[in-house]
Amino acid sequence: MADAARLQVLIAGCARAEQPALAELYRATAPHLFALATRMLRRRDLAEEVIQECFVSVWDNAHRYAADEGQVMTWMTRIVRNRCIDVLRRPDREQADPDGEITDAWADEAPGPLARLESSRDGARLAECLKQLVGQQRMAIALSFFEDLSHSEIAARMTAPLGSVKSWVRRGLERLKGCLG
Amino acid sequence: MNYRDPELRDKLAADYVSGVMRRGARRRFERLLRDDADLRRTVLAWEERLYPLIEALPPEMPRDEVWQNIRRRLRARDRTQSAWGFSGVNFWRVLSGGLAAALVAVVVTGQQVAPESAPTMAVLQDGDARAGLVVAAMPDGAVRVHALASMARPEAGRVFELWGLPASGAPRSLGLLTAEGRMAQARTMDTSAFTGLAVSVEPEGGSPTGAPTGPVILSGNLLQL
Repeated sequence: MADAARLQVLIAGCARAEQPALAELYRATAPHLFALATRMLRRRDLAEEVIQECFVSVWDNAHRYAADEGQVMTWMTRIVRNRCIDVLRRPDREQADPDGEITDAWADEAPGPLARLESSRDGARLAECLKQLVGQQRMAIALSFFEDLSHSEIAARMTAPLGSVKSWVRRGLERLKGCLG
Repeated sequence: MNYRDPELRDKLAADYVSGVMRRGARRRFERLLRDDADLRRTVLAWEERLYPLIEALPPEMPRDEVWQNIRRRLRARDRTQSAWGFSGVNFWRVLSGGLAAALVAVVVTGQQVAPESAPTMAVLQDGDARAGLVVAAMPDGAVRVHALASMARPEAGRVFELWGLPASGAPRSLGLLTAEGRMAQARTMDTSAFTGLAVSVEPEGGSPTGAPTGPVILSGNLLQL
């Protein structure tokens, strides 16, 4: 991904209605945002719709972006993630992670998402910290973040007591915070 | 709950960003966020901690169509906005070219209206500065609409609707046009409230919302003659 400073320049370009800036911003960030939307929604057509809406919204609101509201990627991720949550929480929501892909992938430190995170520029530190969590904490956080599952849905997925899940999420997040400083 | 307790605030922010916070609580929390800059900073700190998680996913460029659709949506909207934001530049360009003077002659003398009795009129143009419709408002409030040969006809199932554009605020419907570009119903209007007029494409029967819903195909400033 392009570095944070470059993304700031591009957002400033969008605020001045420069379409080439939006095109470069799209090339730099859409693959990550699309991966998130596809992961959360588990439907490519819905993910495509969300990405379209979000980039139109980024274009419209670029002039409101202020650096003290976080990095550009954080701002854009928030837009996409909140939109996905809206879609998922419609009454006709789909059952998420039916194949248990996430549950398996985050269960141990072996290859897969953690390794990918480790080799990324922005996520390397987070990967280090995630490795310090116990597997269940990591898995519970991943299910909540990527699958938008509630505590009780995570409990059902992990076949674990609700109380344990609540404490895995809570302690896992606290440890991450401590580790990330 | 005491929302001022920093530990509780941090816990709620973490639940919000991680996703375990559910519907009702999430909505309440978002309401709190609106008026609480410190809470927004707490949320931001959690976002910056957790959002890099997305780099754990294999990146994938969406299909070309997605970008094409984004561009199409921006283009369509730009056109509408520039039409609504019409500042009269095109009108004066046409006017100075003599074309508008000829139009005035056609409309005014052709309809047996003396110039002094036509206090306001507008020449409505498309995005390429081609004049399509001339609207004249008589002192008694009667409206005369004259379509030029270059004006497009609506597609089947669509109608053209005429709008008055106030200096600020939402456009107001002035009625539908026939396929020939005349007012569908004879009516009077007070044009003094408007600085310009525009024509949009609407479903049969006119805009269902009371505001323009389709593309704006013609627009122009109202001028006191």
